[in-house]
Amino acid sequence: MKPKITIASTSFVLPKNSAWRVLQQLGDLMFADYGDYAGSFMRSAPDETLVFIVFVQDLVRDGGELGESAVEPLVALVERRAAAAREPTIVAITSWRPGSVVSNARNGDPVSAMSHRLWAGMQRLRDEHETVFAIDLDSQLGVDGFAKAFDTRNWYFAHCRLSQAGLGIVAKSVASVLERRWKPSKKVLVLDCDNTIWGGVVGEVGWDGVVIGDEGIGAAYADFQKAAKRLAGEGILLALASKNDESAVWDAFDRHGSMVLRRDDLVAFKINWNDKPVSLRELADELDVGLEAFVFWDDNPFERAMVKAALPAVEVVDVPEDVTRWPQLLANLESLQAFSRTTEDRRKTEQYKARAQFSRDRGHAKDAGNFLDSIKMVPRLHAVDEGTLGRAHQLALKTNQFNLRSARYSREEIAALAADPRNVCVLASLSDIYGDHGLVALAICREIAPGTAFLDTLLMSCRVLGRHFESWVLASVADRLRARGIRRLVGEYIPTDRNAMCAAILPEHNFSPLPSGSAPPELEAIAAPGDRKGTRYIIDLETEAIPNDVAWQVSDGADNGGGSQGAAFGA
Amino acid sequence: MELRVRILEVFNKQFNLADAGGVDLPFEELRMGVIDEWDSLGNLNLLLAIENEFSIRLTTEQLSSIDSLAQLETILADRAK
Repeated sequence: MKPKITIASTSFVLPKNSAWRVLQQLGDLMFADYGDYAGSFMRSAPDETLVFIVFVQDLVRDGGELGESAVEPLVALVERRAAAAREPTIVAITSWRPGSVVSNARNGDPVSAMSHRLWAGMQRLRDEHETVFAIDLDSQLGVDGFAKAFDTRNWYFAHCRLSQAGLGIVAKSVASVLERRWKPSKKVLVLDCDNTIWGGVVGEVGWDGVVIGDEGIGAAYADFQKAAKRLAGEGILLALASKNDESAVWDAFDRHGSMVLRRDDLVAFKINWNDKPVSLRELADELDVGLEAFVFWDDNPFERAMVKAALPAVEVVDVPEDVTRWPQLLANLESLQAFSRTTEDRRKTEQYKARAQFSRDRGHAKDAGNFLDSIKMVPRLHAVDEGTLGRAHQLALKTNQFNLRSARYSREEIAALAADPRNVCVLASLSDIYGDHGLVALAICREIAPGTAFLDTLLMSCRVLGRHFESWVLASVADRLRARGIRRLVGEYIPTDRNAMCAAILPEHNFSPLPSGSAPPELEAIAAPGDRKGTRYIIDLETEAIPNDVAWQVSDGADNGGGSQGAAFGA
Repeated sequence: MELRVRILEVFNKQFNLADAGGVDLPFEELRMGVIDEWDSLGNLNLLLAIENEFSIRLTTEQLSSIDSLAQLETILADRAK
């Protein structure tokens, strides 16, 4: 079902204009009547998205008195809705207005005073409510100039302040926010080398001849590398796909004093004479990340066209010829941006490198079981509390492959599940000789009837696949349930287009198909997320054990997943 | 003729008629009101989409007077000369 999106504004924004098409693709679009934005706030349902476009100049009353009194009611509208809303309230603000330099140089300007107030209010609301987003439209409308984005003709003709181009920019800005809200960002940035991360062809000019440094175009390449490095610091995985001799590229990396990127910043590389689509496919296999999470940056239009044609899932950046525009373009590429990054995100590069090493070692090992016993795996349970809630939500949102039911809970919903003392709600972390993988699994069991629990969520990050960690998590959860006198655990596998790998998980752990008609009535009330069809299984925890044969190491820290999770939120 | 094709393309796109194959009326008769969506707001959105497609700018006067594809054709043909 398409989400419902309502657009309200302080002036007219031309409903059904073709500029809104980009938002129409994301949901069913409704427009508030002109002048009735307050009404749409009042009428908006908690599960619809509300977009509020504010032209601060609309709030200035005739006579130009400081219309600050007009700001507080707007903030109050947003605040009242945010208190109940589950879907976003997006406030898109433009403070631009025509003005006199001389006059404003000495006098107070109503619009800028109101703008400050409005932004202060929005800052507070987005700190307080996860569903509140504020967009500074001026940063986008100003790119090609306000003269192009605003149109006085449209104002006098239809009370629309913007030009067609301006409307398009607003629609696209809102769409960027909604897309990121509903879809995770891309994960991997693949860069070409010659004339992309440096100027010149290293195979021809040598490592000391490539252009990168402090001045002119060399500084642009250096800034481009800095932007890439910053993204890597935020958890974007960097990889190279370059047609070159490997040694020439590493000479430039290791010996050129102005290189910003280091070999360590890269999770993987393909430096050879293969076509780029071949290299990209190999990178996807090696990292076990789908091509739809890839962004490709290459100065060569021929290579870009080839990747676009062969791998339509990959986002190919339309790179402008002017290199001086690249650093900004890369730094602000929407598909690589996230609303916030967790510590886990920032450690991704290390984790993916470790994972590649694990796969190589396991491939070389003679006996898979002995191999797992030898890597010193230390598992641990953690409560879902204030400190870990963000990670739990992120896992629920992003885990596609090892995810039994793929229920996409909001942060608030997970907090509520964790706070309910009838539930067992735990995160699990794992470390081994390849490093500390962090919080990588989430399990939620809901007691649905006396003695019976439902495995509502079992998911695991793909970075620890192949270690039987799921067995440990299931066995640990079963222990918890037994300790509470819960005897039966019902599980469910709901297939999606991505999670085939966990189709057999429950039977492999001694769950049996749930006999029809034997389900407690409470179970019937549980609907599959997204109206999909699932297969249900059951295990009797008193008579059946959950197989879990790996030699797990005991953690030295105290198990802090304790039974006190209900109190973690200070219930 | 090519001009008409381009105008019709913008028209069909604006009113989501592309799948239906457009409106079953001669070009000369296509004016505001022939379909429900072509009201005064629809007309403005159509003119703005035409401006975008043909990289032209209509005057305020033209925005209020043009309400048929035939008028648009005349204006666009004049500009092309």
